[in-house]
Amino acid sequence: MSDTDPHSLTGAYAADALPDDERRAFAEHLQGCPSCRQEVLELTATTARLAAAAAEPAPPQLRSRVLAEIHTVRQLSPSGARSSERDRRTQPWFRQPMGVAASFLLVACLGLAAFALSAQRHASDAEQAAARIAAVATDPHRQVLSQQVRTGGSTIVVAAGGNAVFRADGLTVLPANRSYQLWVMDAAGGARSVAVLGRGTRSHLERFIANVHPGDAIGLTVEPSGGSDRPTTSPVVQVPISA
Amino acid sequence: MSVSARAGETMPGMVSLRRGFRPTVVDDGPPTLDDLLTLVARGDGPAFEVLYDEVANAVFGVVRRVLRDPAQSEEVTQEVLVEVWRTATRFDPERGSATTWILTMAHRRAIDRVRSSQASQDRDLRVATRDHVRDYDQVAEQVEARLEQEQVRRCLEQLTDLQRESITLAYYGGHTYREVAELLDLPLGTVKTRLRDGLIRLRDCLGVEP
Repeated sequence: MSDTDPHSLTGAYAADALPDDERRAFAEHLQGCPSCRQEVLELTATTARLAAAAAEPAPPQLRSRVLAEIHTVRQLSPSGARSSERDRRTQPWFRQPMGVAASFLLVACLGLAAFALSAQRHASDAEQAAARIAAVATDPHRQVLSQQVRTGGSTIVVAAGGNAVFRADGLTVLPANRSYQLWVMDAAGGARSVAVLGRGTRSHLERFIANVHPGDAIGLTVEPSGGSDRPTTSPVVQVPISA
Repeated sequence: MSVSARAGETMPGMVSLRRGFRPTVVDDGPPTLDDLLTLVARGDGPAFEVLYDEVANAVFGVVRRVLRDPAQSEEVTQEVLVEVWRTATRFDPERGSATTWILTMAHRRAIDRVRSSQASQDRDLRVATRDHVRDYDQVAEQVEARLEQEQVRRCLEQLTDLQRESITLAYYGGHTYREVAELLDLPLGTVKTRLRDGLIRLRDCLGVEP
């Protein structure tokens, strides 16, 4: 029965639910079945979301143990696993690997980010922000609104008590001269900037938004990298807050 | 990291020179996980630390969901994160995002533990003897997890009961589809199909891109 249509095993494979022998057989089948491979990619990205939803605080002592251990572990040398240059050129520009200059800048940004992260972790501002987010996320009267982003990714807005939390997952990463910008848009056509969110990340972004009222909408636009005074493009997602 | 550190090391007479060499850092938002993994593949330790902070909770969470026992989950989480360091050079962005790559590895390792019989004995023993309480506060991470959970829960609710039960028993429960068929008293073919069409519906609801 299980041998009739190997194609139907994509779900079980992506969920790691095949016994070892069948897993090996299906992996072989994948070599010659591009449509199965595509489906497995998509379903594996889906099960990874199930994994992310199970997140819980890792034991704090684990961090130093892992960081100590990597100093004793040699990294593998790159193999032919990555795709060829020819394939790369056919990729959309925003998914192409970084040039040398870009990676230099990234190292600089990363240093700042790492510094900001560690500084932030101890600041009471960060605790307050977390507490404000927690208050919205756990409010028994909260509204939970969810929408796809036109250009890729999904958002969830949780609104309660005149405040909101915005979260985006799987956004398309923008080119270096563009940024996502988050707005509160009112019924009269006005827009208040909440934050310039950078180029986006395929993991997730999250922001607390104060003073959000019924009739407002939370919108996300693509702007020049410094952000704009008012939206200059139509929103890639717009989530209306109901009464 | 090295760039910002050097910029801070101002020596008399060298200030203007340093300033001349300082790159213009545009606020580009935080680096993506894919970017971080590219740096990790080049042996960048600070990049690995940032990556650790981004993914450790999700790795630990899914491993623990499958294994239950905190001590074993901690061991497997450590293995997975060291493996991320070791094999970062083999990450292929065309086969999915860095998050997917890491969490798929984490789930797979947890499943490997479950399927070895020694582990299941350990699991029972340790669950019975272990204290689960942790005395630290990570409000922000918990809230993030809650929002992600909220969205996944909403999408799981849109599945049929059979789709949802098959997926949760297989993925979170760590059972093979044959075991799921036994648990739900269903033909094997039905469970295979429900796993597939359930995940396809979940993919569409979550707006997943590989």
